[in-house]
Amino acid sequence: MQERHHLGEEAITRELFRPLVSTPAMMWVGFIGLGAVLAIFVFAVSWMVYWGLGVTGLQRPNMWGFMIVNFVFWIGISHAGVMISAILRLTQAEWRRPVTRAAEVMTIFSLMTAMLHPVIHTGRPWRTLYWVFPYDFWRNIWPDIRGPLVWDPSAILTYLTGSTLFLYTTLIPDMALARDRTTGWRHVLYTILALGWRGNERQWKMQTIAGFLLSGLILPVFVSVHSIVSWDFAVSLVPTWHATVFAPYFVIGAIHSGVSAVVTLMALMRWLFRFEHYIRLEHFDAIGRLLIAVGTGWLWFFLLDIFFAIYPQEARELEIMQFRLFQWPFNVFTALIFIFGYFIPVPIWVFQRFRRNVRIMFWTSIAVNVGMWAERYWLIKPGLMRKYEWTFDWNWYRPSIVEISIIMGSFALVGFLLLVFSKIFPPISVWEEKEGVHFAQQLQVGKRRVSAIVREF
Amino acid sequence: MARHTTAVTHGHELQRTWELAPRDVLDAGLRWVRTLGAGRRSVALVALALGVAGALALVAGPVLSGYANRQVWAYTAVAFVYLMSTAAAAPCLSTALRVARSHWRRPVNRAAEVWAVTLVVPLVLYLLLMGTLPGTENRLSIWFGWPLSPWLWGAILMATLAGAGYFYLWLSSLPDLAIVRDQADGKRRGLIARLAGPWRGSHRQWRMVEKVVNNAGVLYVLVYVPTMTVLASDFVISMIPGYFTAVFPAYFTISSFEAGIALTILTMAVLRRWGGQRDYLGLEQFWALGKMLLAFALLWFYFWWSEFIIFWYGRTPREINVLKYIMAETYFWPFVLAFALNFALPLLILMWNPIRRSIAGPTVVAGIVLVGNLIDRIRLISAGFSVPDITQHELHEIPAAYIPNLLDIVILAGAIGGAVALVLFTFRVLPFPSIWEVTGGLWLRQHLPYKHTRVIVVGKPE
Amino acid sequence: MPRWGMVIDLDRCIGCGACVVACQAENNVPINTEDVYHQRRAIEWIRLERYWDGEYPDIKARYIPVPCMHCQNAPCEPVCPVYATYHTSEGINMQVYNRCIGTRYCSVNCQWHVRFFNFWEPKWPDSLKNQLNPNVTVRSRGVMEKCTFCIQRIVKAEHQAKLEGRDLRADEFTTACAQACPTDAIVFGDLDNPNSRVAQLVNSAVNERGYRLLEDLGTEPSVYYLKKVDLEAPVEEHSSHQG
Repeated sequence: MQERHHLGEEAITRELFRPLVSTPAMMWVGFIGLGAVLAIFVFAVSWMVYWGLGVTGLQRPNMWGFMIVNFVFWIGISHAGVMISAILRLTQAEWRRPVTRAAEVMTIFSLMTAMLHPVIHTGRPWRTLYWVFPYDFWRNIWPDIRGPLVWDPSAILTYLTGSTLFLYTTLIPDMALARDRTTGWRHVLYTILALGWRGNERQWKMQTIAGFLLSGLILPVFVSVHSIVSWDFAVSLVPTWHATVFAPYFVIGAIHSGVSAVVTLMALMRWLFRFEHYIRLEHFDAIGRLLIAVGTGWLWFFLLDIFFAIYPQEARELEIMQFRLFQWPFNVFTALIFIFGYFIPVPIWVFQRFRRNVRIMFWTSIAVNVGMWAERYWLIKPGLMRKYEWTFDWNWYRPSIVEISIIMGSFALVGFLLLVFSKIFPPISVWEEKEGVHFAQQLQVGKRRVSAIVREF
Repeated sequence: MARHTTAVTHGHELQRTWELAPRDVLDAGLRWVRTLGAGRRSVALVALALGVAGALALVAGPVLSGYANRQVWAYTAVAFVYLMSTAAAAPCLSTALRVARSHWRRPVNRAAEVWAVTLVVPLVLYLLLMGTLPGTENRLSIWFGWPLSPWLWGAILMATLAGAGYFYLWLSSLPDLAIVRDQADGKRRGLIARLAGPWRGSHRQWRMVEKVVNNAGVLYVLVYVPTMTVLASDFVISMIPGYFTAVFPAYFTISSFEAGIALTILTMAVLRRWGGQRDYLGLEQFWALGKMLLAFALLWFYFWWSEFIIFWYGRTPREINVLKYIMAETYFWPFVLAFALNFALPLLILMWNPIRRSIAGPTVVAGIVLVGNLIDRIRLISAGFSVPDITQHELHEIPAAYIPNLLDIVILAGAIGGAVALVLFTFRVLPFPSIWEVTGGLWLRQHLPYKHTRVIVVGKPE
Repeated sequence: MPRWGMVIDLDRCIGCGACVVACQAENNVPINTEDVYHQRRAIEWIRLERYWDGEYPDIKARYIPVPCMHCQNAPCEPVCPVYATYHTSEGINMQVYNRCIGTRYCSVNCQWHVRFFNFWEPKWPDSLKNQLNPNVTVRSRGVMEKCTFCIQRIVKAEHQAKLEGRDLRADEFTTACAQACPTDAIVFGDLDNPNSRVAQLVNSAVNERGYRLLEDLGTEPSVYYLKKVDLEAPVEEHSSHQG
């Protein structure tokens, strides 16, 4: 059922461009609050680069810590954009229209944030940046392509390039619209970005084809990115990491957390920009139904991972499993994963009444991501803390204040960038929204009015 | 959803379905029951004869080679797993399409669901195979010492699955059964009347069916996935020492979905060619399912690769031996064939737009996938049933490949023939197309003016 | 081409720690002060693991010196994105400090915990500045380091042999840890040279006691251990994973 409000094209343009011209009070709060956290983040990173990784909580068995966990988390979040835009575009799901833009932007910003983590996490980040990107082939020292750490930046940068192009393709018509309605620096910026868009038939056709092509091409990249991130762990011999299920498991977990993050973003946009006419309850309903399927799929893989880690009944795996299921603090993480990741949100989403409640959708989506962060920590850390039989070397990992600041800062960074984006670009795709209005039809079937969408076959 | 009436401009065949009146659909369904479904008796009899031969071979095998010889049962297990991967997976596709609420799925659903009628064959085969499954003491299994494992729990799952499948099929054909009961003449009315039960088409009954059909399908999927997980573990993973893999059950399930889609496409092609379903099963259906088949062929590779790369990088002697056994040495050719027929050929054929957007293209690939799935199952089950000592944690020496004899092939053909015979006999009572679903779509259809043309629009009620 | 390897006889090891100190001095390993130990960031290319066996008062300390295993099929090697760790033709698992960017993946994938990361800039007290070995690089902050089988001694010996126009002799030189071991528990040499002590130990009947750490991973370590034979211990089923 669509609760579409009948708005003219002009009204749609005005309302969707509103965040660009007026700044709600809460937005200032957001800028200042997130900016403050961001300042701490910048300070923490500088501190770490200046003094070295000694200021973190990392030590011998725990060579990877919070930053890698957070890297995996943000890569996971970045899977929402393509999940929503590309798959739903290819399957022509109508409810994608108001969420594509926000989801794609979130993809790009969370990818950028994620990329930051492994770079600052290396021992010599200056060397990583200066000599590894671009690689100094002229000295004939080639990167070792056998290693997942080479696949990683390749996949992520491909994904970043692809999604940026994808976003930009869908942004062009809106840029032309903005160009025609602005003056000053904005006009200059939008003129450049609109690439001479006049909205003639050929341009629309090219734009549509490019959109479809990019969605198709980006799908394999989308699957490969998180698979490769999972292989960072799974190709090693560390017990509990060396699991064949990791690739699909990470991908479905990424979709679970990413789509939930889109729900969070939808609720925030609806509240902050008063987009009630565009981000409607039916959209929450649809995305909630999608999340039930995704969440249940994730649970299946989660259980497969646990069961088939226990299955060989080898002391190494069993001990770590015992450790991470029943010992503090991992027992709390286990509970968080199960309860927040599945057993609170999914039963709630089963009921349409709750799916159509923005407040409930907002908090359940937050719960999922709390659970998913815990899941990443739970997956990555215990294997390192209890690696093989060397009880002499086993050790706890305690993150330092620097690492905690970096984690908080990464959230602030994504939030801040999203806010800045919505000041410059319309956060909902204007042309897609208008297209949707054109295609929407109401049919009289018996006594009921049924909504329908005109679509080419 | 709508189609331009000026379909020629896009070069697509217009789906005739949306031009029909509900009355036409009813007539087509009744014509099917009266003539078409009942015809082709010879095919049904051949299939039945195969089924009987298979049953006899099933008895002869253990009598000749001894009940305790596990290798004798390998091809019974292959037949069982193959039916679980194809016939039992098809209703899952139907559920997925129902939940996604697209209109093109309306005539497809029954072609997929009708395979649920064969569930009795794998159930019987499983009950036979239960005796050959070794107990879980002294060996690794997913059951961790549960009492009566693995027998009782597998049987419970299989029985639940069969029950859910029959319930789903019955529920989704209930309104049509009532139509046949009321309109068809002849001898089959007694059975159909009993099946159609109290259906009168009241408002309450319709609401109930529309609500429950989806949930019954979801229930079926929710039973199917754990069943396949358990079967993957009981028949393959725990039978090959050192095969420590968590992704295999997912691979097993996903490749079964691929085969289920292929089976549905093949069924559709048969119905279209010999069943007079040209108006209902057209390009739109084949095209959409062709895309799904391509997607699942890619997933086949993805899930296989996820496992392979971990073993390849792990390089422990245990992993290398398993790779040698099921992929690189002993079962090399079955693996290469499975790889080619499940992934490489479907990809190479279906990647071309004109082939995907045709009737013949997806049909041919569906046939290829069904063969590929069979070879893949033969590879895995033969490997699992040929290890003499499954109590170890590692393959110390790699067993020889199991070459099937005539009896094995008769068993396999018999199980497939029996399943086909069951479906052919069901054709005699179930109308094609699904009258209530196709007409349900037609009620939501309207011709509307749109810009410079007139379009057919199909509404989407919540 | 030699294939370097080591044998450590646990029956001879008394847990004195001389190998650790000798290695520290030979290879310019920074001084592991108390706070570095508390941070669990001590760098010990060869470390002495101490395990307690039994309950007080009937308790025994078991020592096992663990240097880098120099696996022939080393898990740390393929995971380095910049080839900072690679395998030499002489079977040594080598670390190139200049290439290292410090991803620490090698350490994560080293199941023997023998790769060390320079979390801080290395420091020595002024009194020890002149003690540094000029043949060994001082590693900076942010790179991995590990046992090299005293590569500087190997290079020196090979160079000397080349100058004199001859092949390397068996046991012509040894590593710092082996040199310092008072009980001769550590033996270093060429595994392919049948005259070397290390090859004789590995091949001889003594090797009913021989085993390698985490051998089931199939990485082919080059360091062999000779099992501790405890004459006082009650006979029991051997159920260790290290066997």
